[in-house]
This record gives sequence, structure tokens and C-alpha cells, in this order.
Amino acid sequence: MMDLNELKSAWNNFSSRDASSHQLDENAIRELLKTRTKNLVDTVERNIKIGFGILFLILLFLLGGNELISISMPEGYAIPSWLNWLDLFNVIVFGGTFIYFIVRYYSIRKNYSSISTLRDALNRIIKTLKIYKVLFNMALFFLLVVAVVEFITGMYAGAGISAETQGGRFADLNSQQLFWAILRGVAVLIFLVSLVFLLFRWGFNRLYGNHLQNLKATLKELDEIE
Amino acid sequence: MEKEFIKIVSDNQGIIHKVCSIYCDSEEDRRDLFQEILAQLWRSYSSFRSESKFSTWMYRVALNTAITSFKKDKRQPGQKGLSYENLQIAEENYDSETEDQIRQLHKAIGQLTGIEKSIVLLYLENKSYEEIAEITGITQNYVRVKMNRIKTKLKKYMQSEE
Repeated sequence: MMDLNELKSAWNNFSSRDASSHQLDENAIRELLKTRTKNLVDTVERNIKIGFGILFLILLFLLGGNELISISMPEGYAIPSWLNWLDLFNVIVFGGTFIYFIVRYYSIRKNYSSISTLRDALNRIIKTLKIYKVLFNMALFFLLVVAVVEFITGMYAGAGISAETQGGRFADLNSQQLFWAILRGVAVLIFLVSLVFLLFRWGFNRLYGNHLQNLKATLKELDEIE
Repeated sequence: MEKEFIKIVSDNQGIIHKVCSIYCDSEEDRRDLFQEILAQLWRSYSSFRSESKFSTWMYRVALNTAITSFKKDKRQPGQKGLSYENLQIAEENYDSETEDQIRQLHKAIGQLTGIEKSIVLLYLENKSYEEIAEITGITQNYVRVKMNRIKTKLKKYMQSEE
């Protein structure tokens, strides 16, 4: 069995030959610098920015959605006030969470902008991956809430228009039928969004799950040290 | 600044090759990691201050990048890496004893975690505990403790191979 000095000597022997056989000239290094890397953090950060863009569009839709539906409502038929309140609640919660995420994301970037230790590097990647996961889940959840609220609002508008074209009144509609129609629509929406959620969770765990576990294990190893 | 950076990296590229050889088990992974380290060095170059030696800073960035780098289930930080079979040592003109030693060394290092690999690499590079602590960002005491554990681990592994 080799002792440690022999290990060092074997390593020196190997590493110097290995380094010289992989030696690159300055032009090759310059070319490599120009090429985009497959860096995980870069990809995730780009996706987070796309996510923010999508959330912002949802927020705009939330802010303007009711105006569009109100225009399409026949005269005399107003959207129920509880739906308006629900919409306002959506806007406040959604807008607040959106701002919170932006602040959190940029504070992670700022705090770890000049990474000098392994702990910082690990924390930055773990936090970025976590924020990526939560952001996507949040976008899906809000998409579901928006879809359900807009769907119910749309059903009311549609029922009103339908009653008017048939010469009736909104109040004459069979409320039980309307209720079941809304319930069915909401169930379909929840099913579709849950499917997307499960698909994303599966995809995320498949792509980044092992890596995230390994990073956490490395951080734990560091924590055990000190 | 880019010209200066390329020159200094070119002169010290041996450090990146050593880190890549410890953490990668294929030539493809090695190329990817080399490029990732290079990109990370370039990104952090503006924050490099001459308080520490360039080689110390380069080791730190390279090792942090290697430990945290990601390849879709091909190269993970931790247990994988360093497959002797991919090192093409046979192409070099080593005698059979040296080749056997290198084979043993790589197999043994392949069993270590990402952090342990970084410590053992620096140890093999004859860095003092003080320098290892500076590069890895952990205390000298811990480096000492960890190094003892690594030695035991390596010995145990090599004995089991005999």
C-alpha cells in the first residue's frame, strides 16, 4: 500500500503530464470565453426572469380583466359585488406576492454577487433553485385563481346575455343549473392546473432534484465542520 | 482587461486542469467544467483584489464552481467523478508501478465527497493547512480534522483494494 508521500509523488507525476496534455493557447481560451456555458444558475436565473414577465402579464390581466368583461355585459346586468371584491383581493395578494418575490430574488443576487466562499456559492444556488420552484408553483396557483374567478364572471355574463336574447331576465334563470355549470367548469380548471403542477414538480425533481439534494448535503457537511 | 485576464489565466491554467481531472469522469464533462470555471473566473475577475495571491483566488473559484456545478445526472458533486478508465494514462509513458499508483490514487479519491476532494487536491499540491483554509474558507482546525479523516478513508479504501 502507498504511503502519503508516494501518493503525492504519484499525483505530481500524473497532474503535470495531464495539465500539459490539455494545455490551451490564449486564442483557444478567448474562444471559450465567447461561448455560452451550460451553467445551471444562468439558465435558472433566465427562467426566473421569464417567470416574472409571465406573472406581470397575469397581474395586468387581473387589473384589466373585469373592465373587458364589464364591457361585454348587457346593460342592466352587473357583475355580483362579491366577485368584484374577490377580484380586488386577488390583485392585492397577487401584486404583493409578486413584489415580495422580486425583492427576495434581487436580494439573493445582491448578497451573493461576489461569491468568495463555498458556503455562499451553495447558498446562492440552493436559494435560487428554491425561489424558482416556489415562483412557478405560485404562478400556477394564481393562474388557477384568476381562471376560476374569470370563468365564474364569464358564466354570469354569458347567462345574462343568454337570458336577454331569449327575452327573459337574469333573475329568471335556473340558479341551480347555473351553479352546477360553474362547479363543473371550476372542477375542470382545477384538474388541468393540478395536472400542470404535478408535471412541473415531476420535471423539476427529475432535472434538479438530485442536484439540489447533493448541494444540501454538501452544505450540511460544511455546517457539521464548524 | 480581457487581454490581461486571458494572459494570467493562460499562465495559471494548470490549476483548472487539476481541478477538472479530480472532479470529472469524462472528457466531455471536463471540457464543460473547464469552460464553466473559466466563465466564473472572468465574471469574478473584477472582484479579485491583490490581497491574496492570484493562484489562491483561482483555486477558490475553480473548486467552488466544481463542487456546485451541475450536469444532468452525469456529473454530480459528491460521490461521482474520477474514473481511472477515462484518464487514458496508458497513452503516457509511465512505468507499470507508477501507473498502478495513479490507478489506486484515482480510485480512492473517487470515493470522496466534493469537499473532501477539494481538501485532498490542495494537500496533494503541497499546500499548507493555512493555505487550504484560506482557499476553502473553512478553519485550519477543521482542515486538520478533515484531513485526518480523509487519510483514514483513503487508507481503508486502498487496503480493501489490495
